[in-house]
Formats: sequence, C-alpha cells, structure tokens
Amino acid sequence: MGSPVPGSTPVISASDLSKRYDFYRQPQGLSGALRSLVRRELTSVQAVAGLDLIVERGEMIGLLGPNGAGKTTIVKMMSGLLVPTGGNLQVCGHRPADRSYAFLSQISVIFGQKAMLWWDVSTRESLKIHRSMYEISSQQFAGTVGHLGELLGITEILDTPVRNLSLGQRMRCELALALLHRPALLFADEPTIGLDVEAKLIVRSLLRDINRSFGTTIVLTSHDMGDVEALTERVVIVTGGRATFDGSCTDLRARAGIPNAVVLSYRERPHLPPEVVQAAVESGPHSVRLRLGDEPIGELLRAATRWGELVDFRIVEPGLDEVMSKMFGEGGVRP
Amino acid sequence: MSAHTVRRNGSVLLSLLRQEIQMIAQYRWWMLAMQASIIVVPLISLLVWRGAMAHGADPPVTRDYLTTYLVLVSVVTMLTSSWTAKFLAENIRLGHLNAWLVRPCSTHLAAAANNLAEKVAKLATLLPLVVALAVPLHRDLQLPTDPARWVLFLWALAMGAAMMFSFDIIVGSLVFWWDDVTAVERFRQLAMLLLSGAVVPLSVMPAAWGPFLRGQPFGYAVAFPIQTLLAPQAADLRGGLAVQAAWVLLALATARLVWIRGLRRYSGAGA
Repeated sequence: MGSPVPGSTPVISASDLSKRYDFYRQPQGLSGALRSLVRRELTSVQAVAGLDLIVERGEMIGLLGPNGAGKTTIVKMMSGLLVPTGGNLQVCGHRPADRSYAFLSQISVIFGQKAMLWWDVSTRESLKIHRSMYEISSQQFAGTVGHLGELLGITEILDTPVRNLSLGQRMRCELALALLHRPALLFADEPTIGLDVEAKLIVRSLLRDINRSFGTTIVLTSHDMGDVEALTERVVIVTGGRATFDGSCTDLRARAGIPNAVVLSYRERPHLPPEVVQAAVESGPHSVRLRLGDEPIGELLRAATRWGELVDFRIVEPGLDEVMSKMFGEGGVRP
Repeated sequence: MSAHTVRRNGSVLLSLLRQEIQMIAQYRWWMLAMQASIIVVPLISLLVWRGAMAHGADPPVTRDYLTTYLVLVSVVTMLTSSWTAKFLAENIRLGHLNAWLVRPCSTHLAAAANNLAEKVAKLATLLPLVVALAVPLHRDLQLPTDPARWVLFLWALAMGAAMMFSFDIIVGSLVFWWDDVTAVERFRQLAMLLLSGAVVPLSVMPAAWGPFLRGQPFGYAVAFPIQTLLAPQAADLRGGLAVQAAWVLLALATARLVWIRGLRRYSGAGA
C-alpha cells in the first residue's frame, strides 16, 4: 500500500464542509397528493454537517458509513458534482465546484453502478476519446494503453464492443479508462459491486498495484468490507454527515471493543455443552467459533478437548463487518 | 475561451463524431425508416396545395415557389432540428450526467457530436428520397444558380441549427428546477410545427400576422433559410439575417445562464 508523501500539500482538504438538500415533501395518499397541488411543503436534509478531513498524496482511504450517512454526497462534492452549502474544500489544489480543466484532468471516478465506457463501441474507441479530452500525446497514449493492457489483462479485449464484455472484463476496462490520464486522485465508488469472488480479487489487486505503481491517491467507498480490509490502512467512518472515526482498521477494532474469537475444529461433530452452544458466535458441523473472554486460553482449550477430537484451533480478529455493525449501531465517536 | 481550449474541444468533438458515426452505422435500418417518415408531412402538404391550386385556390405565392419550398422543407427541418432536450432532462433527473461532469469536457459537446453525426447520416439517407420526390416535379422547381445565395443558405441553416440546439439545452435544463419538462417540450414542438413553416409556409399565412411571424424565433429555423434561396428581397434578407443572429445570440446566452445556474442545483441522483 502506498504511503502518504510527507511534507506535500494534501490532495484533499475539507474543513467544516456541509451540504444541505432542499426538496418538496411528498405527502401520503391521494388526499395528500391533491393537497400538494395547492400547497407544497419544502423540507431540508442536512446530508453533510461540518466534515473535517485531510487526505495526503499517495494515501488509500476507505470512506465508510451506513446508507444515508452522507459518504456519497462527500465524494460527489469532492469530485465537483455537487456544490457544497458551507465550509471549505480543496481537492488537488482546486475548488472542485468550479470544475476547471486543471482540476478535472487530475481526478478520475469509477462508479461501480454507472458505466463511463461507451456501450456500443470498443474500449479502445473510448480510450481514444479520453486521449483527446486529456490531451495525451500519441506516444504516451500508446505506452500507457500497452502498460494498462498488460497490468489489467485486457490487451485481448480492447477491440471488443463493451456491450459484449462480461462484468469483470468491463470493470477492468473501466479501470483502464479511469487511469489513462494518470490521475493524481481516484474515487472508486463500489468498484467491486456485482463481481464474482475471482473478479473482486483481481480488481482489489489492481487498485493496490495502481496505488503502488503510480502513487495515485485512492478514496474508496464500498459496502464490501472485504474491499476495505484488503485495500485501506486508513478508514474514515461517516455517520450523520460527520466523520465519527478516522484511523486504522486496528484502531477501529480496538474502538469497537469486540474481543477476538477462537475457532475450534473437530474431526467429527463435537458434543458441546448447552451453555457453549448458546455462547457460540457461529457453529458448523465440525467447528465452533467462540468469543474469547477473560478466562485463560489454556483452560478453554482443555475444556475443548473434552467436547470431541480437537484437530485445530485458530484465534481470529473480529470481522470488519461485525465491527462496522457495532460502530454504526453506536453512532461511533471520533478518537 | 482561449484558442487552446477551442482546439482541444475541436479535437474532442471530432473524436466523438467519429464514434457517433460508428454507432449510427449499427442502426442503419432505423435511419432509413426515420427519414422516410420525415418526408411524409411535406409530401402531403405538397399534394394538398397542388390539388387546391388545381381547383382554383389562389395562395399569395406561385405554384413554383410552393413546390420548391415543400421539396426543400424536409431537408431544412432535419438539418436545423435538435433532439437533445429529452435526453438531457433524463440525464439530469436520473443522475446520468455524473459520468460527464467528472470529465474535463463540456456535456453539450457530446450532444452536439450526436446531433452533427446523425445529421450527416440522415442527410445521406434523406437526399435520395428528396431527389426521388423532386424528379417528377423538376419543371416546377426554381433553385438559384448564384453560389453566394447557397453560401447564405448554409449560413442561415447553421444559425438556425445553433438556435434550435440552444433552445433544447434551455428546455432540458429546466429539469434542474422542475421534475418534468415534457409539457414545456410539447409546447415547443407545437410552436415549432405551427410557426417554423415546416408544415405550412409562413408566406401563405394571413398578411396581418406578418409582424408577429417576422419577430418570433421559430421561423428562423425553417422558413427563413429556405427564403434565402427563394426570391429574397435584399432589405428583407438583411433584416432577416439580423433578427436571426439576435435570436441565436439570445438563445446561446440564455442556454449558458440556465445551465450554469442549474448545475448549482444538481443533486447527481444515484451513485
């Protein structure tokens, strides 16, 4: 994973950033709908409220939060799609809402659910359009396409119409399009959504390679905790439009205060006492997962050998899903 | 806008044009069917007018004028028309604009490329149909031989197309404020149908409507470009060019203003 470049200007600097959406409330029922023809009720939702965030060059951060927490709004403001209603925001040294060429040519966005590639033509044709947009020289274009083709394993499919690609192939081609102009900052919004396990691993590995090879700063938003654990060292949790946690995955686990667990594997189905069955976090035909408490591990293992023929045991950290569930439930606190 | 930006946008437009033509080539039967339908309305008008004149109707223009006008009208209507409003409104409402707004390129450049590319393709399919229509009527067709008149015609066409494209951006951008602009678009289409001269030449409308018809913009998209080829009076032509240019400038400025103001309200629905 790339490390931040010390002493350089932050890629993202947000202070007291806020965004409010104003919209008309949709009343319930037919009578409500008829009433709204005469009088409509304007309502506001504070999607982001006083966000402070610094992201250094070369960092790879995960922006996480439950649905409606404001993380997508934050990314949209950072990429120049939305105009903030308050606070200061500088991205790559520019005000994103101005949507200047100098700003837009330094960033790139991958929307997992929205294609950037043109559907009816090949990836190479889409790349050619981006070449004109980003003023890439022929020599650099050929070199970068060759390099990305190899890195992403798409050389063979560059001339296939996008509509004929599988989802995994399309995501790799989306990545190539996003990286053609060597952006300083990449927003990856749900980059592995809908992908199978193998394709997910490929995309994760690619994002890591891109961060290492090009020093690209990556802001990842994902509901897939596997993505976050595999890619980011720093996690920012957004709840209620604020950053309620900003730190490493280890810090996040410590903050959640969920103890480690032990996974016991048996040769045959174990005979577990009722209190153990009740306390088990998870149990399979030949295994059981128990939360580690204050009791010494030796004592637990001695007891475990009495429940059946113990063949293996592993101590595991709580999964990020579990941690996030606890954090979101509690609202979280900034350390 | 600097010369460098113009060059860059020109290069992007060319790339988009090339790509649009590639895509259009995949839908060639749709294109032919569309053009055949475009020529039907002026063809019916032509037959109705010629039939009426054969039975003693006395319109304020000659039979040659009417025939030439109605043969040209389908080509001119197609070349100055625009169909961006509906797609733009949908892209804004559903958040599909996101993919364009994060690129260092105007969203409207893609719409312009689509518009130009489709017109090139449509012209290639429409012209043979128009020629097929003109052949049996060639004795009644009166087209100028002076190249200057054709240059003027092309200029008026380009101005008309720019105006209609700008109107489309204005109408489509209204969705930043309203949830649905279908009604506005329908009114515009209706006004276009009645006031542009696409169905009935403006010169056969009641003389009392003259000042209104000369002042409203839609006539400068269809009737005026054809008028530059058909016996124009120098004074009328100069006045027409000035009013057309004024409408184009006003439409461009309004489209820019509405777009910039509207973008501040964009919510980028969805991801």
